[in-house]
Amino acid sequence: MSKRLIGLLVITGIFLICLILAAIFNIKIVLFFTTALFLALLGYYSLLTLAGLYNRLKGRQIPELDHYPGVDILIPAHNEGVVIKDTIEAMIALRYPGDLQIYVLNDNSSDETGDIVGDFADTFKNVHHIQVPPGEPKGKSRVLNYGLSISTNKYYCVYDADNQPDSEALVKLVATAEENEKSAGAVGYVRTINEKKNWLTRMISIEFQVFQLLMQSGRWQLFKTGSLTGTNMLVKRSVIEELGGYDPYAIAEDAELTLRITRAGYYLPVVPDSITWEQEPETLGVYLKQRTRWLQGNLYIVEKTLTEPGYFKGKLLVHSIHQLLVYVIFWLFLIISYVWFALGILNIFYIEYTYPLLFIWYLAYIVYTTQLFAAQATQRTFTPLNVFISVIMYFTYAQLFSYLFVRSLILYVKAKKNRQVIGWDKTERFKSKD
Amino acid sequence: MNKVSVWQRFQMPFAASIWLVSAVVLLWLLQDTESSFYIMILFAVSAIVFFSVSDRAAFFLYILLTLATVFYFLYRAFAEGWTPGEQATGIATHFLFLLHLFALYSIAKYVYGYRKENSALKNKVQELQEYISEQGVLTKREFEKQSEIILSTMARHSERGYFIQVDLSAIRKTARRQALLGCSAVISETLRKHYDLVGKLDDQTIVYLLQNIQEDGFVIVQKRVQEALQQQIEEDAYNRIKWNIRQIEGQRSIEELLVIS
Repeated sequence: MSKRLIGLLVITGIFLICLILAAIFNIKIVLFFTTALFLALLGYYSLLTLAGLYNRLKGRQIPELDHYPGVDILIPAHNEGVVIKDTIEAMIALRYPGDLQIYVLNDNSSDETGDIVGDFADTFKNVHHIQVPPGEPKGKSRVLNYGLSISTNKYYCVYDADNQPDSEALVKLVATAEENEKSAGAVGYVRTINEKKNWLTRMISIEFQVFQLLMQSGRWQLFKTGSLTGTNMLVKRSVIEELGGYDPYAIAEDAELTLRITRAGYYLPVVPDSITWEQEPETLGVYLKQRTRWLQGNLYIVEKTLTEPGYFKGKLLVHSIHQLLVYVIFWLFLIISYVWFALGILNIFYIEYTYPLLFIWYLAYIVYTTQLFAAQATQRTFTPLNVFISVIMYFTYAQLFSYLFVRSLILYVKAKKNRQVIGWDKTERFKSKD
Repeated sequence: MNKVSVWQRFQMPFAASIWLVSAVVLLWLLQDTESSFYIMILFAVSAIVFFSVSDRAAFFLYILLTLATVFYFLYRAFAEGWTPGEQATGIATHFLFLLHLFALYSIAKYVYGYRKENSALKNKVQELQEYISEQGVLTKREFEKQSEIILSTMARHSERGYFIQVDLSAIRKTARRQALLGCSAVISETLRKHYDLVGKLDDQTIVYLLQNIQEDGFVIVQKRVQEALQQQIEEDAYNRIKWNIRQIEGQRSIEELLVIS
């Protein structure tokens, strides 16, 4: 265990002891402290919402380049037979004036993925079927590292195997990335192709519109910093080489790479008009599995942020604070409020207080729902059903976060204790209706 | 013509009813308070602003007002030390206010939407052309229609031309649809715009018509088309393409050319 981690655990322990002592001797101090912190959190997210909305509404002209540099598209694929044909068709249909090579990185698929990709590779000159050699640790990061080793163009662009980008998506990313020398690449936007399938997919779609578009645009507007989205993301080869490639142990490889890119002083401009369409989980089981993996990936990043030096400087501070706000502070508040509520119901614990906590709860609800509305307005996805779903999302979908977080934390701590590598879990795909 | 859904039919009256009812309830609730006058002014100003700006700007204002008022209510709750009962009343009042504003924004948005749709439809009617793609590849019906006019003119002037069928049926089934789109785009880009015609006959055949062209010219054009295709398509796939070339000598319809060939 590193000295830094030990120091961190000691500080956390002291903080918790202080909190318990304060609770015993003067609960009002705890209440004041948590209320102030929580209001600061809500104030920050309100500001991000307004900035994001402003950024989206003002619009932006994407420049035309005289020369478009070469781009390699990397598509990691493991048993993607259900979706890969649609994906490759969409890639071939991309309009790109420069050299464009499409690499499907077949990670030991045992279904018909290889045959389908082979047919395309035999037909089109710029489609390549790459068999990735088996190896450990399993996952997207290792596959992407292999893809980088066999491709050569100035930029590479990652698309998940279930993606169907708009034909102009890539050209917009490249044009934006080329605008500024300090750009490490550019990040597009991911929309849900099966949004109308059921309420769950609608909720996921609305959530994406908030966190991948509105919040991204808000951070770009306020701090000129963006984060990679895992798909529809363009990166300069020289930058990834400078950073030593992907961290093969990172499950949320996009978030992890974002931190390193920002730490190295590069920009990641956000291009909301570069759109790719992605399939999202249609059943709760698949959703829970996918999000547990994502949250474990984020816990890995929180650990890195707290245990490795250099994560609290410059623009990286915005990302590090965001990680800590969401995955440490917010979660802590959630647990405290649940425990408090339960103890109050059971008549075990009662605090005499003067703060308008009921109204603060309402404020939290309004800020959350406002974000959902704002994101939909910018995407013009407002429908009566979506408005209704937005109103109930706080009480339904958002509450899943607590369960998911506890589940991921337990699995993460278990894996750490047993010195296991957290495995990459593939998201189950669904056949789309033509 | 698209059917108008029940919701589409009733959305305006529904939003207007909510706007009116929420305004009446709010004014009745706040009639004895000193702020009722300012609230009435706020309602009136919001209505004027929402209808005079674009729907996006109106929405930005709606969000701004939502957040500003909720934080203002919170300030009041802290400053006046609201009891849980007063907080509940504050929540209900604010929620009603949001409902009123949202109804107002919705009406403004519908009006803006209808205005924009009307103007877009007018433009669309003028521009409407039966292309299957932006590259100018025609549908079978449109190809037949346009080629009939060209063939008649050619026959009248005793001009020669060529009708070419590109059969992709031997290309692997999985990649065929994309190959068809890709090849038709390449052919269309290579030929003379607004003069030659390119169309899709069925799911595996592209056709193109070269008007007023002699044998020498045809050889040059055909070479250019084939080279462009070879740049995009793998050699093996290219070799699977079947070409059917027919010289036009007075035929007046595509059916005639297809039957003979």
